[in-house]
Amino acid sequence: MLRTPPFLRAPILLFSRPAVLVTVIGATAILGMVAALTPLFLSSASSAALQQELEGRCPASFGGLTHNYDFPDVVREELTQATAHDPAFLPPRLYLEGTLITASNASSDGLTIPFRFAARDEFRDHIELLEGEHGPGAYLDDVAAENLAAGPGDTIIFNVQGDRHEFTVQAVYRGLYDRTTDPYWCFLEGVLAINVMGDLPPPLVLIDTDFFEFESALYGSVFSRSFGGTGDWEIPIDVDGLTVPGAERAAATMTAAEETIHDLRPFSSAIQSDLPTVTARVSSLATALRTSIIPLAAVVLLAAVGLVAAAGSYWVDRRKLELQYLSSLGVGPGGIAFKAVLEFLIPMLAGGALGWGVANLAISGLGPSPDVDPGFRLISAWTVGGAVLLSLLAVAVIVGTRAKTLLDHKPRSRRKMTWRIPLLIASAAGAVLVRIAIGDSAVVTEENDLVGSVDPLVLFLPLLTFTAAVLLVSEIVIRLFPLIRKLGAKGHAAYLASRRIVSAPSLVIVLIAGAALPVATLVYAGSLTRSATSTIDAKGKTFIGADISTPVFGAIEPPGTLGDSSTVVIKTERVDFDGTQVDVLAVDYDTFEQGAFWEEEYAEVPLQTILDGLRGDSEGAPLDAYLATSGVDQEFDDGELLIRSERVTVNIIDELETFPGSRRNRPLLIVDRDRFVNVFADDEGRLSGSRYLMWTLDHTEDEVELEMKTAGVGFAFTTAASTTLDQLRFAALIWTFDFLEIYSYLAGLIAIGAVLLYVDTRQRARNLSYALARRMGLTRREHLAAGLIEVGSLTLLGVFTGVIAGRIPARQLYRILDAVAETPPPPRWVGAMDLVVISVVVAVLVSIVATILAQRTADGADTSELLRHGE
Amino acid sequence: MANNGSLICRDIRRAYQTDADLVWALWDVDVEARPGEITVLAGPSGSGKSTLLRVMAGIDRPDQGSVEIAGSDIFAMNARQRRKWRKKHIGFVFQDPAANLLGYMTVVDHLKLAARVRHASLDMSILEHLEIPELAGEVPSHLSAGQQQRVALAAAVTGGPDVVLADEPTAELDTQSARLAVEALTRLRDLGTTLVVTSHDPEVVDIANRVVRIEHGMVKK
Repeated sequence: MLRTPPFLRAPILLFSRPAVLVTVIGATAILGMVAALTPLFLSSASSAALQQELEGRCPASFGGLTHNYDFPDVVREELTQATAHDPAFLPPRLYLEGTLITASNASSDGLTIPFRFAARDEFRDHIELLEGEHGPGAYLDDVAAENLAAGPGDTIIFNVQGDRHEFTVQAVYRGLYDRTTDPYWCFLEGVLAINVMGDLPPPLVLIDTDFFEFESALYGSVFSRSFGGTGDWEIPIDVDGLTVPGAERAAATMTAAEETIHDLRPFSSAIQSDLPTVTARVSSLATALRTSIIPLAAVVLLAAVGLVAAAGSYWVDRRKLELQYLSSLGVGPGGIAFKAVLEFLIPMLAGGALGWGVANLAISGLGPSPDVDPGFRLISAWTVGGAVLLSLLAVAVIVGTRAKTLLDHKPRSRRKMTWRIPLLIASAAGAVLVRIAIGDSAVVTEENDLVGSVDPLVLFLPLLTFTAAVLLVSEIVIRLFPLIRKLGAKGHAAYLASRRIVSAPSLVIVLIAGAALPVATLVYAGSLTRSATSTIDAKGKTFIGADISTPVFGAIEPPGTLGDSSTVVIKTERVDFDGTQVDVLAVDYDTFEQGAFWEEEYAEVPLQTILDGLRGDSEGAPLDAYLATSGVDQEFDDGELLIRSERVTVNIIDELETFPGSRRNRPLLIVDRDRFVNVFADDEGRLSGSRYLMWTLDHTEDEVELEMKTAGVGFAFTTAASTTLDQLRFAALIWTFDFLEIYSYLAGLIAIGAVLLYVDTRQRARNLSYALARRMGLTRREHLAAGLIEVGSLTLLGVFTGVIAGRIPARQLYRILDAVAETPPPPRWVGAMDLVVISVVVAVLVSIVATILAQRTADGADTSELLRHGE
Repeated sequence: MANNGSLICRDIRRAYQTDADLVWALWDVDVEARPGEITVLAGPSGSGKSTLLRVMAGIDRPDQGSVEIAGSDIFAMNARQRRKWRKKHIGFVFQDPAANLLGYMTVVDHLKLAARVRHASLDMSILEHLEIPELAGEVPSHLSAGQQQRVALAAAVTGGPDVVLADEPTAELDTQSARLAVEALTRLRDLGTTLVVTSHDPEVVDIANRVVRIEHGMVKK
């Protein structure tokens, strides 16, 4: 039998049935995306975490450093051999730094200045030449050249250990003082950094490492250890496109290299690198993320397998006659299932491959990072293969089962849906129990206390809430069937729609669940992602007080565009207030509102009221103050504030939950700046122990630094809110919900696909009823309206159910999803109302399109044939 | 192609479960069909004709009674054995012409398929007997409904099954096509086939050797 045309031609049969072919490829493509996304997302998120960790780190610290510069050529060879097999490693680089030397121009022009020699591999590729040409000599920077009045060809004289030496200037390069973030030069940040007073460090005279021959007199003098010279071997890593498995391999390579070098040179130092620490942190994040999203992915994958199985059921409906025929020839359910598998095989493999490709593109474009480890791409391909295999099995089971019932012609008794109420009660009770089990924190912190991940129970809560909500709403609708029948008296369209709804309780549940599932997931994931992101943003800004905080030297006037978006506050930390350690923040009445991060959620009191209250009636003591008591479980009353030796009475106007610049468990007294200065400044107006901070909103660090430098206003450094908190601690949390949001779109596709399949398989019955109704006088318009009422009302009800089912667990959980609980403010709620609106619009559009398509099919049906065949 | 299989149904009862109660589609039905004869199961719609035919084919199990074909009680077999037995010994023709043929197979493919499942050699002369030899290379979509039904009958008898069961073979056909299908049934009878046909078409009843009238699931005496 297997060698007969129905089986031999099975693999290509679907290609002559475009509707089924597209359905199968589409359903499997969704399945492929769902299956592939999990490993791809995990790898992408890990890469993003790695890159986040690398940001701000010098590649030299990420690669290795070892102090061993004896026999440079031999060590270079040893290090190269130890790391050459690992593609992450670049060739080792030698850096030699001499001690500070005093030098002058041999022509006696210019000044006598201090400088130091530095020899580094490949330095010529990383400087800007101003005078002269590249060559084997020594390079002066432009500052040294100007001070020494020297240029290419001039001779510079210097003394080392009493010996007089000289060298000829090869070229002049642009100073590296503003290049401390350059991946090549950041290694020398300590040597090149300008101090807080704006003074330049001693210039570097750059020399190639091959210039000095080992043990030459000059080398021995300039870089000798006994005279303070140091030498390091950098073992740099190419961080572009580096993935976590790549970093783990590199860490292992580095350990092996260290052992090799140590065996060869027992007195060499260990290789110092941040790589193992960084890799461990990122691996923790990957583990945390895996724990959170794999259960979720499994649920969605099963839904996708269900969709493909539904496509199998659809195939049975479309091929009913053929199956009947084959059955009459003695082909059993197993044979028919095998035939279905043969027919589905090629389209499903194509769909799976398509889904895998789309998932890869999606991750490259929309994922946390475009860098995905090739190993994970392979895993994702295997996952898709496994999912396709599972789906083929599901298709075989569903087709076999349906073929059995279809061919036996045994009319089944209508099942009474007695399972609804028990399942409703069980899922509602389960949701309550899960909520209780989650407790006060939905964030699981790994042992190393570095990475917070989402408690997997958090993902089950919406699932149970969703089931309960769908069953509850469906039950209410089904119980209202008598009323719906009565509403049918309001016209032909209403009559037809109401009869269709009440005739199929299972359709009611399917449509409500189909529309509710993606909406619930979207609202849940969207609300929690936005709430968590907004909370973290607020925490960062609250921690430093604004977008950017810049320590300045006194009550400066913020220059340029900073004038309208900055304020200068005075912060005094850890002082005594009636025996309790508090911080004091003195704010400027005129500018605080424009420069500080403030939201009304902070307190019940408007900011202007607070500022007015602080200003009070006097210009000095006693001070009026508000007290921010975030997390402090203590009663406060008016008391005495002691700063240095000054003791001043403070009147507490009111207490606030939190305030810009406040820390959890650290009370913060907020006072007026002018009154604070009047009370606590010494005779010369100084406030020792206090810091002036310029807080700025709506600017980046670079913009602030540029404005300050341009205006010549002194400052120490800048700090951005976005870099204040340890990003990795909440990355897993944010990414879990990001992932859930991506899956909610896929769930939407699955739901739309399932609903369309269901509508299509019922199309014959719909066509028949249309044919009969037309004969009884129903117009086309009324039939279309009936379809819209039927599908539209149930879909909108589904959207409503989804919103409820998404919001309830999200509202329950947002307060306990706090990965940085020690930093105020407490979690904030941002309801994803835009997503609700989008869901409603999409639901309406899908209803309209599905109804119009169904109407067009009904219009095109052969009425006489329909009436002859019946159903 | 001729065979000597006879079909005997004894005390067949078949009930369907509805929401309200049990409905007996067949009640103590006794039918006998012999080789070289056309037995027509006649009766109004819903009388139980098609149910009885499916029971005879072993597609549907009776609640009580036996069906013996060529000396074998088909319900003494398990489902797998019955399927294997059915493909060799029973030819079935559905009411809808399109349900009897696969769109992607030619007429000769259908005959080859039938011959293969019954482990018989292909005999193309059946097409000549049914006056459709020119259709051998055609696919079903190129055939009229009457031609499709005659091809279905040809496939049903290919390989020499003991019994050919036809469910309303003329119901979907126009008068001319129905007449050709009736002629085809007559020719198959002449070849010695045991034919059981459900129909309320007077032309089919006219050619019957035996007419079993069924009303409300019972044989009308």
